[in-house]
Amino acid sequence: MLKLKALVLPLLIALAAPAAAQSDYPTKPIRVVLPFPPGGGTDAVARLIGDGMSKRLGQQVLIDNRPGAGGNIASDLVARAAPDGYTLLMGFSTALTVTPGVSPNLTFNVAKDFTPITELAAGQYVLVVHPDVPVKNIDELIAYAKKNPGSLNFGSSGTGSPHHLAAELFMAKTGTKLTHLAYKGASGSTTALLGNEIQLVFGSVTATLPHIQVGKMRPLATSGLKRLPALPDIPTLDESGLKGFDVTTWYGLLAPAGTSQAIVDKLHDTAVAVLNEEKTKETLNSLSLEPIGNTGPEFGALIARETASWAKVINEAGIKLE
Amino acid sequence: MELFSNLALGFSVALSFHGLLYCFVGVMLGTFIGVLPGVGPLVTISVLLPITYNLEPSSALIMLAGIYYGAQYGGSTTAILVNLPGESSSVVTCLDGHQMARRGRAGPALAIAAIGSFIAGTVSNVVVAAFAPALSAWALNFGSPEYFSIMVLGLVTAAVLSHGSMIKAISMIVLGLILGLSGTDVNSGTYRFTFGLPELTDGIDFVVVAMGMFGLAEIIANIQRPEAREIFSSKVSNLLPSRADMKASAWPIARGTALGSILGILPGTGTTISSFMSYALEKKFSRHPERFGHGAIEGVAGPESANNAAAQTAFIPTLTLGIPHNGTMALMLGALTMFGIAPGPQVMTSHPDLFWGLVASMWIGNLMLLVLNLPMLGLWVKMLAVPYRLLYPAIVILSCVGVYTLSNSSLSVVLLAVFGLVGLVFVKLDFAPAPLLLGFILGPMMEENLRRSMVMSRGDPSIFVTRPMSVAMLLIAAILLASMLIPMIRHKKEEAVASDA
Repeated sequence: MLKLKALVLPLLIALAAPAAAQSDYPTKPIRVVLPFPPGGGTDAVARLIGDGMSKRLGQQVLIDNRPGAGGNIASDLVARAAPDGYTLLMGFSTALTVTPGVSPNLTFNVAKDFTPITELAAGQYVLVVHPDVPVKNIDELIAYAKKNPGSLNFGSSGTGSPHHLAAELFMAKTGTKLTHLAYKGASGSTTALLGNEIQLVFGSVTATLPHIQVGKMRPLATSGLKRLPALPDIPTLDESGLKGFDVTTWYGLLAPAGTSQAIVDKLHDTAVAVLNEEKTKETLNSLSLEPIGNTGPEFGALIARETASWAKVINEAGIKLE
Repeated sequence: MELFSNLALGFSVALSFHGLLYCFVGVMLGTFIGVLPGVGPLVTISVLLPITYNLEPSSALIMLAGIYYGAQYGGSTTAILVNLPGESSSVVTCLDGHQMARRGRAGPALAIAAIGSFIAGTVSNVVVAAFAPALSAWALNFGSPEYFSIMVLGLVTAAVLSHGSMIKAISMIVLGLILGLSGTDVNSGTYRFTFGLPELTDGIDFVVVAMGMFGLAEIIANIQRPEAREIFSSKVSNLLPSRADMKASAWPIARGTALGSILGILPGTGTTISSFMSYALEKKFSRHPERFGHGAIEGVAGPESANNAAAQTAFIPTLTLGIPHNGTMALMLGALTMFGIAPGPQVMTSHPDLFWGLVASMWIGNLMLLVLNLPMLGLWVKMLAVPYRLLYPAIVILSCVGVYTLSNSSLSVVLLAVFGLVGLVFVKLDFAPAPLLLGFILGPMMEENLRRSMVMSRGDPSIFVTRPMSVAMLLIAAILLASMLIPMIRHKKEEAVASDA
């Protein structure tokens, strides 16, 4: 009898294990893979949300920075990970919507290989000019750029970066010609604007706001559809005559495709609960980001929509990327 | 005097119990990870960041900064003892520092590095305190053409670095430039020399090349020469520098400090270039340049002072403008954001305790490093007496772990092995690796700035000679190059005349 028990018991436990794994999830630390090195906006958001999720799930949420190939290394890693909810991807807008589309020999498919969990936070860019540029609003900028074609330089953190694509979209919509200077990282273009090596940039709020406040940069417009709470007097580009101009930046959580619905739901609910905490809202606010927390399918639709619209901009502007 | 009241505020923050405690914790941690080959401050700070959320902002910043400059300090120790440069600025320290260690003078090498760093840290700290806003405004005049020209100057100094054949040095620089091409072209977004490996799209990490070419190559080479392995333990002389050592180091420390303080302000390039340039400068000034590369104490004192001075003044753009110029600085500013302080030009006025507290704590941190490290000299030197069969496998394993943490990629470990073998071939053929490393560091930045300048000028190369600072630097480079080439040509001529007769 004792022998039989010894045989059957492990068997029963083994059979029960998958079911238990789902209802007990998580039973071990969760790894969130990041497409960028420590120290950027993505890293800050991941650490903030990860910290909150750790407390609620009772398991450590580990941040795993896997920079490289514009985000493809991190995406590939998560696409191929076991769909058990222990490996997740911290998605960043262009890393999911632009980079895969222009990379050769892609080993994963954003639409097929991931289950979107939720969009965590969104922000927008500010179009700023050096104070010496004699323009006060978008109309004046367009007129000035048309009168002096190619004489204004704009900066970006690399070809195909959101800063670059936003400027390309601006040129396409206004028929102006600006000269592109690429820098490694956002800090390079911020310095260059302060030194008047470039005259305008679509910069992140965190990189531009402090300089706007001391008058070293002049904001002309913001890139989203809603005005920025931190700059209530600055119109959007959409308001300024460029109907439909909408460039945002966002961060979201994704799981490998095939992750069970129960786990996806648990992760979604936990992430949304963290987003609703007052402390999270405050910190996101200080990064000029808005908490979102939509459903997985809504997040998936956003990725699909932006992938299509960026492809159109890249095609029309004739940007060649590899 | 406003400066004095500000400094008084700074010292009141830095000398508080918490200020001292976190400064101590920071520099200790920094020294420790700096000594571990390959493990850098970026990884350490990113791991420790969550802990700092529960601290006061000023304590957190003091601790993180302590890790940063403490690591630079610890990196020199590893460079001198086992020829492993974990940071770009300690490559130069390897050249003569490790040669001193091999001659049983590890103690004086480590001590002079500590003393030089402390003096440089003190002076550059005064520079930060007194002139930070003015200097950051001045640094903004440095555009892409100026950066290109200063890098040309840097490359010319690389030729001075090597002892022996000029042709070998130049070919190593060129090889370094070519290796630096691997990765994504920032102007067009095109992948170059990535061989289909996604890990290579950001280029090869400097630490991988440096540790492979210096450390691993040396370890493999030593296996073949048993006598080299015994050298360390057999004749360890005195631990502290002699009076003659101090006298020889005084001017190099002063020149290194001046050079580092100025170049550190230039984001991204300062710390590395300053140590290379200081080495070249000392070799030029020396009456016995042939001693360089064979354990000249000036070759340790100058560059070590330069890189520490630069590491301090590198905080100027970060603190006055809120612009981070490397991952570590970005993390520190990110930590401020978590406390609800937006990094930017207003931090100095809105949170003076933060700015001045940090400035004061950096000086105290430097003092702590000196006081901590001088008594530890004996311990470090004793480490060299550990049998080769135990010490070196441990170093190899730690190096592998270290490079893996750079970007959590196993390819880095494979590349470390590859560069170890390549480095071994160079050791056998008597090619010095330092010029290659400088070419490797400067190449990509030089190309980026060259191409950006050309886009700015709409294709007109005269942009480099019409901007005053740019042309000044190109002229210095030309003079330096001529001063090296003319004696060589004259020498050849004399040889030719001699053979005619």
